Amino acid sequence: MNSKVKRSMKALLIVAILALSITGCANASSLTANANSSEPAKASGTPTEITFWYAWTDKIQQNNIDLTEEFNNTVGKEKDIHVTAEYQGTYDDVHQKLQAAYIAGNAPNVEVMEIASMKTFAMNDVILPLDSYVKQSNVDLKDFQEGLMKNSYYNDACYGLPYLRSTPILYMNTTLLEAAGLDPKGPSTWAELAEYVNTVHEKTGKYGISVNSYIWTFEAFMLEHGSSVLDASETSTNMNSNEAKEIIQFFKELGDKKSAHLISSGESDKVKTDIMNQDTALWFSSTGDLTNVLQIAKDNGFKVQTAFIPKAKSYGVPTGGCNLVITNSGTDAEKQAAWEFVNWMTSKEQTIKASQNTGYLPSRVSAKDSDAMNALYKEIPQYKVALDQLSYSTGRPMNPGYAEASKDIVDALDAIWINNADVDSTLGALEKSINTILNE
Amino acid sequence: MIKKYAVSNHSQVGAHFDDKASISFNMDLLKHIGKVVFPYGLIAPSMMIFLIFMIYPILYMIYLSFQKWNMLSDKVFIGVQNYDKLFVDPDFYQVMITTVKFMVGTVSVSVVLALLLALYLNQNTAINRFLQGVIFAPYIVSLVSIAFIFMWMMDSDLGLLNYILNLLHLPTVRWLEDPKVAIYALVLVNIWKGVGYYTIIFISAFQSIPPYLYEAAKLDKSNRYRTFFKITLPMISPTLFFITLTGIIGGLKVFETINIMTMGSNNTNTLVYSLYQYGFSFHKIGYASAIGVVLMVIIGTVTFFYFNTLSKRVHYR
Repeated sequence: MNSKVKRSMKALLIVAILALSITGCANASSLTANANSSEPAKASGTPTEITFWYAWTDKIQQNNIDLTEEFNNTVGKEKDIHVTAEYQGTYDDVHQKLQAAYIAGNAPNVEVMEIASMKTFAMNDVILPLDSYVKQSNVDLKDFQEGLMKNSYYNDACYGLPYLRSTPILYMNTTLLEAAGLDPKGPSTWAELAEYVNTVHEKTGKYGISVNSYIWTFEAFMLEHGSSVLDASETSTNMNSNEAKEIIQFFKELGDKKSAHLISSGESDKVKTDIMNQDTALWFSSTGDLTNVLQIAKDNGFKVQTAFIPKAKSYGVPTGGCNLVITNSGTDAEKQAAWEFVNWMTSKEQTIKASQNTGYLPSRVSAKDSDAMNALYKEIPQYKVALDQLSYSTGRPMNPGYAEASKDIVDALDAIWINNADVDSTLGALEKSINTILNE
Repeated sequence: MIKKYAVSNHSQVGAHFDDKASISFNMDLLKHIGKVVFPYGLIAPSMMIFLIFMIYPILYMIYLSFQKWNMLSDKVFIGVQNYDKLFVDPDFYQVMITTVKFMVGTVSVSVVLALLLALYLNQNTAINRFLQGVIFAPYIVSLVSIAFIFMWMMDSDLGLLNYILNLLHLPTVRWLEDPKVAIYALVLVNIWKGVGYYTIIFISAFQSIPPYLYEAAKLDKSNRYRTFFKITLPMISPTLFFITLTGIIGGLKVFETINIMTMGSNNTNTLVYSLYQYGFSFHKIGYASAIGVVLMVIIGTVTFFYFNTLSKRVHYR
């Protein structure tokens, strides 16, 4: 009921915004046409209204709201642009709604886009290549960290700039580790990881680790074992390889001993419950969770450290998080205004603020090297782990079938980890179905 | 010219026939046309809505089921490839079986339980009126909040249900995680939510049965079971028929419970949820439409047979 009311309020709001933006851009575009410049109209009285869709709540939401407000009060005021930031749910929700809104012809102007989905939207012309804007504003793309740009390109054109970007890291409740007599520095190899997990369980009775069936962290496990979920051409999977079996068995054995808490994909919230109740010593999560987790630790009176995901053969993690992209709809003035916003949001100063607000990576080299970030790293060293780990990072698969393949993988993990399905036959069937999906 | 002709024509007619009769004849015709057209005019608005929001989407879905389309790309006609793929996909059969399990479980238990509750609560006393309100309450609560509360109660580590089982020294159940159990856990939630509604409908059906039938039965010394099966059940058969049918259709179309509680994991994926996944998560609109067409055919067939076989046995007064 409540959500219905909210939705109809939102619908009203969107109508109002649309009405505003129609009048607004009519003015702006006529003015820009007169002035024959690509700059949006200045001081025309009615600002260019654009909409920005973002995902996630908590600190991440606050960050998006704060930055948007700051833009409206500074650059936006100067260049006569007004941005309305709208929360849409998870990344999947943003993608689904964007798709529908694009067809309906009322898509937002700027949105966050999870990096594995870039290709799907770029190849269907839903989002704009940014190269001409990048050139126009003299943005140095080399200043963005190399590992973070890998999912920005489709057909050699740049479609998005890194915004809230992350790598998965290992979180540790060091209070529990110390209670179990373990070094709070954490495990650095998979053998040590098993030892940590078992020791915590034996000494404290708590879980050594809480692991949910989750595609992104599984990508990291595969990379740490010198393999990857999909091969380089993204046309076949390595999920039936020895590496994959080794990883799956590793957690399965820990789960059987009750040292590890294996959690099905449908109940991933339980990881958070375990963290809050201090029922687990270790867990894998995005660095974007850091600010939240530190808060939880403070409220519940335990200490948290972060570390690299342990190494099996070599270090390696996927990057994650979202890029900022511009929708290929609306007037030129709106697109230009959208670019002004994206450019401002991804500039050095805002990158620093976003990283401080959330724990996400500083996506620019200049931001990473800034005094502000270095001061933060000195004060709270947990923030630096993901950054250091970035030198071992790669992008994520971009095959449009990967969303479906991921679901199959997670289902298989659930089947084996939670419901004791046979490893070989499950992975054999999985490999077959994924390879079909990837080549459709 | 024409006007003149018309006038002269009219006067000619007037010369031969009574003027009044011709006018009333015209009026009759108009009235007749009005009588025919007017009802259509009246139902036009709702028919328009029906055509635009029911018939057109169905036709469009059938059309889409022959296309390859991700909503953003151009549509490509691929014949029956979507159906070919669907009918050899083992997941699809898994999904069908799960859907049928859910539907049968929900409808059978709900109807029987509701009948028993209705029999018990039929007497119009203060306590019964209160209890009727109590069991009806879940029906007016949003399914979303119910689902969340049950998720919490069914948690295999911290949940209330397993806590109670523990207290009673019974083996605990992994309600939403065990693929053999999970779908029935969802059935349980839907029964809990729907049974009050069914009960109220049954009670109102009971109360519409004329008391003289029972008086006659009493005079004949009919026992309670006989009275129930020979009088009560036949008299409420239209209600029973209606409730079972809507239950079957609702069960085949289940979505929200799945979406909130398990997201289709652990063998709880149903037809509508997998349709949603293919359409909106995997961007395969053609394939999703094919699932939709299959669902429509299934519901259509079930309804058709249900009407044809059972409606003859329904006793309408």
